[in-house]
Amino acid sequence: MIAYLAMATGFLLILIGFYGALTNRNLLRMIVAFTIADSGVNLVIVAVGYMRGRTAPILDATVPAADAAARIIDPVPQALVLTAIVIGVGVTALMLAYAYRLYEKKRSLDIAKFMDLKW
Amino acid sequence: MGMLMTAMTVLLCIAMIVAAFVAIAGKSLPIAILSAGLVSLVASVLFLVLASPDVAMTEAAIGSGLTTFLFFFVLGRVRKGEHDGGEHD
Amino acid sequence: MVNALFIIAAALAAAFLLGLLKEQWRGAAYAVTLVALGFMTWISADWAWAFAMNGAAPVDIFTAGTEPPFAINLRMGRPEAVLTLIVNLTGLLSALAMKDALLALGRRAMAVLLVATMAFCGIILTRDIFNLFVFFELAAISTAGLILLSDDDRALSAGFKYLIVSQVISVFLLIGIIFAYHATGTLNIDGMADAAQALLPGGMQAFALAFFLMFMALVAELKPFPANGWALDIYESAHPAYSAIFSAAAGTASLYAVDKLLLIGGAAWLPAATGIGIVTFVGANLLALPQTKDRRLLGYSSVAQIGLILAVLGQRDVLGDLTSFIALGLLVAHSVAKAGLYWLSGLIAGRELTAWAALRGHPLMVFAFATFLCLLVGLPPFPGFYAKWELARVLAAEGRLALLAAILFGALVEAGYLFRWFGHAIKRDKPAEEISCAPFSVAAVCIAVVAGWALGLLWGEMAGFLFGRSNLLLALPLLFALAFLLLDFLPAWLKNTLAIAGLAGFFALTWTEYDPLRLIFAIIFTLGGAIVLLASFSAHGRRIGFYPAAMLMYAGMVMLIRATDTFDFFAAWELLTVGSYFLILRGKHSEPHALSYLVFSLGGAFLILMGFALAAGSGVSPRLTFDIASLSQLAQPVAPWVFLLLAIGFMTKTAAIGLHIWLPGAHAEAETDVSPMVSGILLKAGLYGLFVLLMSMGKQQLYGVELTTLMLWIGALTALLGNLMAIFQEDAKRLLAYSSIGQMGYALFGLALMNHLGWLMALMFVINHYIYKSMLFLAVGGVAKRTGTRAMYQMGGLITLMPLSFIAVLIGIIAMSGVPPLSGFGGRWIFYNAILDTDQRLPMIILFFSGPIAFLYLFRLIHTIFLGQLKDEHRKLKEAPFWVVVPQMIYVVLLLAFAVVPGIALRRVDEYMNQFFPEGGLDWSGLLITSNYGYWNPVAIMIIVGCIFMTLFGWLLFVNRRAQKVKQFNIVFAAERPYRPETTHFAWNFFAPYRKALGFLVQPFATRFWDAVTGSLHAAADFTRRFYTGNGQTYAIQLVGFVVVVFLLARGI
Repeated sequence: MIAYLAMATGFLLILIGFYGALTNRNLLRMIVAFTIADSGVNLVIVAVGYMRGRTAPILDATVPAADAAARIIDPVPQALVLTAIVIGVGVTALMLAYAYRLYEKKRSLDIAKFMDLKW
Repeated sequence: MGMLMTAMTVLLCIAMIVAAFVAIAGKSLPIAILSAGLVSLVASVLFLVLASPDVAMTEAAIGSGLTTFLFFFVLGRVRKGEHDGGEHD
Repeated sequence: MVNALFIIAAALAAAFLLGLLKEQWRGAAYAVTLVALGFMTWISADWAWAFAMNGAAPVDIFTAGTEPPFAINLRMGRPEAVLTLIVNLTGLLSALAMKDALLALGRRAMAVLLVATMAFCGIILTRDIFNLFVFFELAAISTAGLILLSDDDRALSAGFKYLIVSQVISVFLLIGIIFAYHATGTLNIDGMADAAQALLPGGMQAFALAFFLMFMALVAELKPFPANGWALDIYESAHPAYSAIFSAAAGTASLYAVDKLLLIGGAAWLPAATGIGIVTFVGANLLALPQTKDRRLLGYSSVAQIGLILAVLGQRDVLGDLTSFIALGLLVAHSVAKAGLYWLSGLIAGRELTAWAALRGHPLMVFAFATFLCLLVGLPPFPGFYAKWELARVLAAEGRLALLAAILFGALVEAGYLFRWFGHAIKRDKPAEEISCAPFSVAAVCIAVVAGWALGLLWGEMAGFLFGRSNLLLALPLLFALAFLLLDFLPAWLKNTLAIAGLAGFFALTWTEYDPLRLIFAIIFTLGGAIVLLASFSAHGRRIGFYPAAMLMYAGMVMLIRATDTFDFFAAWELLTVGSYFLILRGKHSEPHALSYLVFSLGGAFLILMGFALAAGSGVSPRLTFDIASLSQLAQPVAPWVFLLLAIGFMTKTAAIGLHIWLPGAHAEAETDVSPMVSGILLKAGLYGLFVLLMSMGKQQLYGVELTTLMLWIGALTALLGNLMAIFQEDAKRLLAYSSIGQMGYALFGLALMNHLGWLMALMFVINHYIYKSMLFLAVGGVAKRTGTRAMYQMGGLITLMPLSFIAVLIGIIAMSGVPPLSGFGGRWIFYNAILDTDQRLPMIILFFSGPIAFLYLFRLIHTIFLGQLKDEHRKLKEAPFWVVVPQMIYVVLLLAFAVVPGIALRRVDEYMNQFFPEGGLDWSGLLITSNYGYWNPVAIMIIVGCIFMTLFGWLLFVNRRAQKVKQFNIVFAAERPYRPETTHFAWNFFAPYRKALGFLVQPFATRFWDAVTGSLHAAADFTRRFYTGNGQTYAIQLVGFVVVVFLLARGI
């Protein structure tokens, strides 16, 4: 149940994020929208890995290695999400650098002003 | 316990969606950035509910903290262009 | 061999090392970068060599010490080795070409370049789907990073648009990956492929959706049309060396990623790949038509080529093992050519297509440009040619003709705009800025050229290994032609001697191998070519570029008659087309005409390719090669279609009516010694093709229409209209060109009669037309050289000043018009005998009609130029240059000899034809030539006419002694006294009454039709390209829309 809720919310976030990115013309708002979409993706991925009634995939005193396979959720999606979060912040930082540079050159953050190259 | 978790999840999801809407449609850019940070924060709590503590920690630190910081850092430099592409079409 | 993981390790280590160096030590940083890239290239090359030569086996590299699915594994197999070699080599050479930019930008740019190259290699090597995602993100980040660092205004907005789209792509890819993992339980590509097979139907649905998302994400990386506006902006604005990487390396990596993904999805997804690929190929090529900026044009072309390779990958189910041969051939050709062209564009200052005229005067760069274009279009002997041939054969065998037609159409459009660009570069005025001579960039271009030719050699060897053919590049005629490239520094007279010696020598070596029919063609192509080349001795200087082009054309013609296999035939056909294009392009005003010639010729060539592919795919021949002789064994319903396609293709070369509009311009604007070559000799290649076609396939019917009857009509109409258009020309060479069209119509008619004498007549036409058309072109060319004009009405009265040219033209005219005693009369006689057997009345009448019309323009030729009044400015002219006159005199002797003893050439051919048409032959006993209807005595005719002529001539000389000399202006008419020669010489609009009566027949219908075709293509392209509005958001929306549309279409299927 929780997993389905989380997945649905994740998809909703992705849609909201795309909507914001594809309709807002301000560069910074676009980047914000993409951040939201990234959060949504991460949520979906983690939700896929969740299994009801199981616990986090950390092997310690409470969850010994012997019966871990029956008691932990799938650890692979978590590994994927960790990578995805870091990549996401990297791309966000790069896009922000672009926004800054473009502002320096064009004195504007409106994407409609960057149409000098076309057809 | 299950009911509590489910109710909490529902609340968190609603909070995230509302914050997302504010981030997209909000008039002021700093508010939008903060809302996006809030989305990340709530997401990290949700990760905790979904039995992924390390992901939660990472998301809180990077998604909420670092990203919001980066946004404000750049926003400070481009203060003048804040409202570009909004009202005047 | 070194572990392939070192490719990635070396790049990362070098990138980190760069961070430790001081900011000022740029030279050291650059050296480190080059060493790292060199090392990576060496590893790939080492592996590629091991796979090619030593038969090594693919190796899996387990990164965490365990096997998948518990760890990520990389694989180094044969395709990975070759592809990483392409990526690393492109990276290395681009680093060389970007030397100035990198040194200016500092260590960060170099580090990012290393990471980019490494990321592309990682995409190729990895076997884990999430690892693939990570490497794609790395590639995207490093691409955007490099563009950000370059600080170019327009590139910045392009980079941002790229990042927007890459965000959308990564969302799709991640969602797809996680759900695919959920369905199959593994992230390993091979594991996922196995698991996908075993899925239950319910799981199948979910997995299909997940796979669809992954597939579309990776396909979007290939920049499919129309969701690729963002990529085009990068191609246009980034540093050209980076665009080279973007096109060659990124395209290569992304294609292989899609190929890996298709492993998972299975055969159900192949049509989607083909569909997207072919739409991209045709769409992007069409949109490239109206482009005027060089780098954007190259961007469209890149998108198109990658789309084509995607379509080929989608045909994996029918291509089987040949997939890698074909796809790799197209890929290496594209990579080398695109990278080379981008590096070349880095040398040129202006961004307009016409700015490439800066290459004029730099023969090495022009040669590089030409090589790259031929690589792209897939002309022999380059890999794309072999790939295209095999692809066509398999597609035709499987009945996928619509796909084949779309591919050939796209290829024709591509050839059109690429060679239009080449024409700009050769013919336009040089811009003010010279090309830069940055040594590293030039070195990169040169290495690309060498790589291109080496790959041609390699693909020839592979084709030989796979199909048992001989390597095209190693054929003696072709090597001889290419040798002239190396010898171009020699003076023209020396090269001319070598060329003539080569042609004559080749004939002497091989003349015993031909049957009588081919022997005639061989004599015309080699010895005839040698005689025409005598006229080239009149040229001075070095004539750079003339001899390679001319000898390429002759090589193609010679290889054409020696071909027994359809592949060799087609390769020779394309070689002679390319050679003649470069040759015709040399004329002063020939730019649009040469392009028109090339497009028509390539269009015809592609039709021939389709015909041969249909024949090969029909299953008649069990082997992979298809002999020309096997064409006779084709059965219904394939046979008439093959016949139709081949016939139209050959008729394009002989300029049948409707397909003739290229000829007048091309032949008229060519140089003086080129016009006889193309008009006298090259047109015969088309006739040779028709001979071969009719000999093997005979009569064919399509939907009840007898195809040879159709050819008969076309021949008659061509003869009539060609001759008619000739009489209205003011330009002497255009007149002769239209006359060639008409004469080819006669030959076509004779062939289509499908009887013994008809073919003999066609052959006699071949010989006669060669002799007198070459002679006339040389004569007119010589006169044009001396008088400075080609307009006939500006000449006149040249009989006294240029007597030898006059004699040549006189003999030529007598021969051509069919007046006894020369050989044209014999041709007429055979012709009349031939028609008496047929029942096609109306075409016959049309053909009779065109005879006297021909005589009109022939008379005009001699009257307007040589008779009449001498103009003031021409009073001091000398005879045409000596070497231009020599071949003409040789031809005069040949004509006279042929008239007296036609049996020299015709007798053995007549006997040879008996095997096709047992009845209707001529009887050659004694001096008389007898046919079913009458006899012909050439010697007697010559004697009689000679006697009459001598008698009349003698009487004229006698009477002339008492003639009174009259001054030129000592005439008065209508109370006016002329004082200028122009007013006493009726020359302009000579046939005005005929124009009034018959002019309606020569409306430029064909020209208007073809203009409408090209105009509508351009209009459609211009309209469609407005799609790329320049707004990055719009591009992202287009991408999402593209995904949705494909989804709906896939659902529908």
